[in-house]
Amino acid sequence: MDLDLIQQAIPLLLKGLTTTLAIGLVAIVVGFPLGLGFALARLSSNRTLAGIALLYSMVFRGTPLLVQIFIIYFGLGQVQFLRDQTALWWFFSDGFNCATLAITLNTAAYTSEILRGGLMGISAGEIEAARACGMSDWLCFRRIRFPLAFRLALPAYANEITVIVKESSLASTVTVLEITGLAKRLMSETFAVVEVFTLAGLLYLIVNFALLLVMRSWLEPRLSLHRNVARPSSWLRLRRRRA
Amino acid sequence: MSKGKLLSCLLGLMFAAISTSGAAAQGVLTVGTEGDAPPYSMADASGNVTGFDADVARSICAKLDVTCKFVVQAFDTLIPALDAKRFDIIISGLGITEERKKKIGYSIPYASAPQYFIVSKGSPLAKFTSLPPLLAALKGKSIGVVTGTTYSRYIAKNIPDATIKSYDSLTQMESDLSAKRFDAAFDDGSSWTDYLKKPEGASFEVVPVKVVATDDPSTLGHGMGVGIRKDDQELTKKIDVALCDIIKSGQMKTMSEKWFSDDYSLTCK
Amino acid sequence: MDIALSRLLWEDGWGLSILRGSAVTLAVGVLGMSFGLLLGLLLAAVKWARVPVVSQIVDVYTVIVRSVPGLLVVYLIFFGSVEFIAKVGTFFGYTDAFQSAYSFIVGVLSVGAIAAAYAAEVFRGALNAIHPGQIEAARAVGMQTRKLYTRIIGPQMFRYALPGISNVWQSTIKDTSLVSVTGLAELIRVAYIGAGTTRQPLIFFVIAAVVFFVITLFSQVAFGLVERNLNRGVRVV
Repeated sequence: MDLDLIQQAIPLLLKGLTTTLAIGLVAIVVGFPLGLGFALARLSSNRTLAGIALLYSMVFRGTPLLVQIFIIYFGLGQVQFLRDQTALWWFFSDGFNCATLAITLNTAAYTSEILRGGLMGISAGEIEAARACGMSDWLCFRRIRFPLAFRLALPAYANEITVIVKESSLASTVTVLEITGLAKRLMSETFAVVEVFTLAGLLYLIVNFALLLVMRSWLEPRLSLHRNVARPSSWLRLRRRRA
Repeated sequence: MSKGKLLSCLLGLMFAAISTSGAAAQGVLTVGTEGDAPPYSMADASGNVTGFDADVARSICAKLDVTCKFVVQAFDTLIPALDAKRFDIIISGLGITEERKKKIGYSIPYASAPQYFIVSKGSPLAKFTSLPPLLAALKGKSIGVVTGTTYSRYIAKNIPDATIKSYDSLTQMESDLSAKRFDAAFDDGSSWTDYLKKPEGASFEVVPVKVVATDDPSTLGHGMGVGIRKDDQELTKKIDVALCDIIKSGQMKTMSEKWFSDDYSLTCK
Repeated sequence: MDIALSRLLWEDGWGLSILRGSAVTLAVGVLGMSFGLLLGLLLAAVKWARVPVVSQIVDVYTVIVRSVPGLLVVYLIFFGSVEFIAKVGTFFGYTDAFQSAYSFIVGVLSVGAIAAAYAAEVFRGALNAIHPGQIEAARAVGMQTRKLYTRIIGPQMFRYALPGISNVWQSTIKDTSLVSVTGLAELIRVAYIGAGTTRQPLIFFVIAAVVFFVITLFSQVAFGLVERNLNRGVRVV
């Protein structure tokens, strides 16, 4: 274990961490609303809309993310029309943009399935009550359906967020210098394979752990404040109570 | 499906998927090479390798009276894999540097090519004729290099303000170069000669500023050598003798001219 | 465009290469999944039986493998374990063909290791879903342990685990795309080489995507049939 090497590696990998987090942030901020849109489309009575949403979900969940990234980066880079449009090309020429776009589209498909499950899991009684009160569709969605669906879907969505962080590593295949990309570059210069990749893995572990901790012990209880059941205010305390 | 059928199905898939080699246990030299860097090392989908490096490898194998077996891998993974005993030697335009010498051993150097920058035709960068102003002009630009090469270290060292785009292979870098995803690329002159012959290379030109290894030997190295594990002293001696023979007989020069249209071979002392 | 496509596929031989690549992908997926299922079942059994120290180790393993990107797992196994893989290769009779089988074995092991971590969680959940009362009843009537496992625990566990295992398979077959970084000539690698050689990335990667899509669609249908078969006679309350 070369301590010198570890000291040299950590600041470099932390730089990659900011890129990884940037990819994750964009994927969540853009992917979540997109996924919600597709989920609503799947559940709508409009057959065409539901069909398009189903096709989107099947295509993006049925093909590997790596292929999706390659299609957007290499495939679209081949299209002459895109190369000629300065504005579009400014976007598509960068590996970060292409990879983030692919990851966002991918997570939107999975998010749509998760939110669809959440929306379908709401008991009919709640929605009937809302309608009986004379709530408009939009008000009902905003105040009843979405909050309930989100709470139901939260465990699965927390999982999806950790998957997004992991998938960001695929961006390294198209020149993006996030954690995995920098780890590879460092490995090629220092040849210390095990140390560098273990460090990178540790970094991902810490990020995912932190995200899960925040989701489980802060967000979930906050959304369940109105419940009278035993409130585990800390995920760690919950574990101890069960033992 | 009965258990027996299932098992034989699985095994059948496994056998079908792997291309078996019935090669004898002795008399085989496994050579690690990049397979993705014209004109040094080109591999097709079935694993047949051609190029300058492949020719050098085959001539060494002929001299040692063994068969060459190529293992194709990304350039930056070659040295760790050699260390892990995945193959016996590396022949892939591997520059001899002190850093690498800490990890692996080398044969005598057999070739050395100068490096050049390549830019789009008509780019203002193409007008430079000497190195220092060119390096100054490249500040803040994006430069494409192959990961793990001496050229990527050279750029990182001399133009720290540039955005470096690291690629796993030369062909990937050339593909993005054609798509004009960065401003300039830095690699062997021989790679650019090969690239300019292709239709995509038509809109590019080489900046006439020559960078030779002797300009910065600590970064750019002392020429290309065959990478061998440090403890394989016997193999190193054999390969040194074979290489010397090949150089002295003029075979190296012929091979160099075949692929590079220029003689990049070094002399053997 | 159509003429160019058929010329590409038939005359230049890429069609055959793509088929070979797909076979390799399927082989890695199936073998990796089999290895992963066996290992996952073992890990789940250990956790379910609450074996003192080993359960914690299994926990650590599943948490790490599920939090770390698959790409890193592939790289670590690719570089870290040449001797181990040589032993595995020799075990299967690949002493000389070891070199060409190396990437394949790395692929199977890494895909399997990832699948095992997820499958362990699925099997654990399935085992926990079996009502303990059934096991108590079986012991009360003096059922032998082997019969208990094959008549009571086994069938129910498979039924509960099936949707989860179907998900693990879907992500496993897509994880095989990660093995392309080791140079194994599976579908994505062939598409990559084809894209580079012919300068037509769009066609090749779209074809690769279509092949994967067909595989996942087929798997979904197959798993649906098996699920329906296993759920025969189960009363839906």
